[in-house]
Amino acid sequence: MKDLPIHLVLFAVVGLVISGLSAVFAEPEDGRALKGFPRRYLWFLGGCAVFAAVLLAAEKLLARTY
Amino acid sequence: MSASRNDSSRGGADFAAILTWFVPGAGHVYLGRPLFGLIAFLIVEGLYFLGVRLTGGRLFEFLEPDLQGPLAGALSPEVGNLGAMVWHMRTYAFGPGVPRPWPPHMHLGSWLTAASGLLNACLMVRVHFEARRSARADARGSEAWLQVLAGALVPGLGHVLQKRVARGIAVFVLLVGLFALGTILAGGSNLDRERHFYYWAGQFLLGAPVMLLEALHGHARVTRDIAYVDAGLGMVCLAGLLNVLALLDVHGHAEDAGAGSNPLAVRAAPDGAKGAA
Repeated sequence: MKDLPIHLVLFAVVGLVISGLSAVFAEPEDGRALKGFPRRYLWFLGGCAVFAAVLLAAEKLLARTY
Repeated sequence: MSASRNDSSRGGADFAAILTWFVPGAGHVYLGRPLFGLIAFLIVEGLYFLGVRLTGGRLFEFLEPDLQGPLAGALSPEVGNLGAMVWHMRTYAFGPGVPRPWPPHMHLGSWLTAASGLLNACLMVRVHFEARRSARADARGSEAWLQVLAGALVPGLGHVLQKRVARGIAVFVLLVGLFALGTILAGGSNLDRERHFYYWAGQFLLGAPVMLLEALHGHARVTRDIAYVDAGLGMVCLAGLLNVLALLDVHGHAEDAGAGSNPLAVRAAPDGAKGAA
């Protein structure tokens, strides 16, 4: 894939903002929101990685056309 | 408060909000506040019709022919003022289908119609809150809608008005930072409603930063290939949509504060504990 590192960095930035806003929304207390943010961010990245792996596997096994 | 009273006040609040969605101010008339309703109607519809006048009613001509359909406006900010938008689409539709020069204040006009939709959405928040508040003896304060409006104008400002400064700064940095990065990646091509009608609708929810940058950028032509334009457009749209999450946080906090209790205690407690409190 072309420019894969750049895409991964951009995705990490977007994930940072999504996780940050979800922490703001889910935790009414600032300290708990900040403390829980790293775990929330890692869960988001990990979940997306699993999802991407499933999609790639499905593409390779079921939908590859080349 | 009994469950049945809760249900009836909730039903009245929903009805008032839906009335406001179709006719700005009608919900307040329904609640017995005709003067406020009339003023709200004049402001919200005044914004919309000024926008229609400046654009010559041609806003939806921004859309490519394959996007022009009866539900084309459903994802535009104007949908917040549904009655006016339906009238607009029925009256002007998508134009004659032949290229014509845009009116001189086309973009300003489109900002005004979009702002009218957003303002009416905040009015719906207010009327819904007031309808429920009238049924609650312990309630106080109705600044929720103003805080939501402030957060819609500047990300994080609603939190700052609630004296949650650190949270407001974090929201501002995250969202405006994402918007700035997306704009750089898109080469500024996102700052034009004609070019990206629906992405623009998403980023519009970020408020003043978008308007300022768009005014400064001046709808410049795209003269080169932009490598990461898709990533940039996704980012700016996402930044606006995530601001809705921040606005929900602002509104939830304001409602809890209006209920006369400690918002942090109420929202952090489990459901059973809430009922006991």
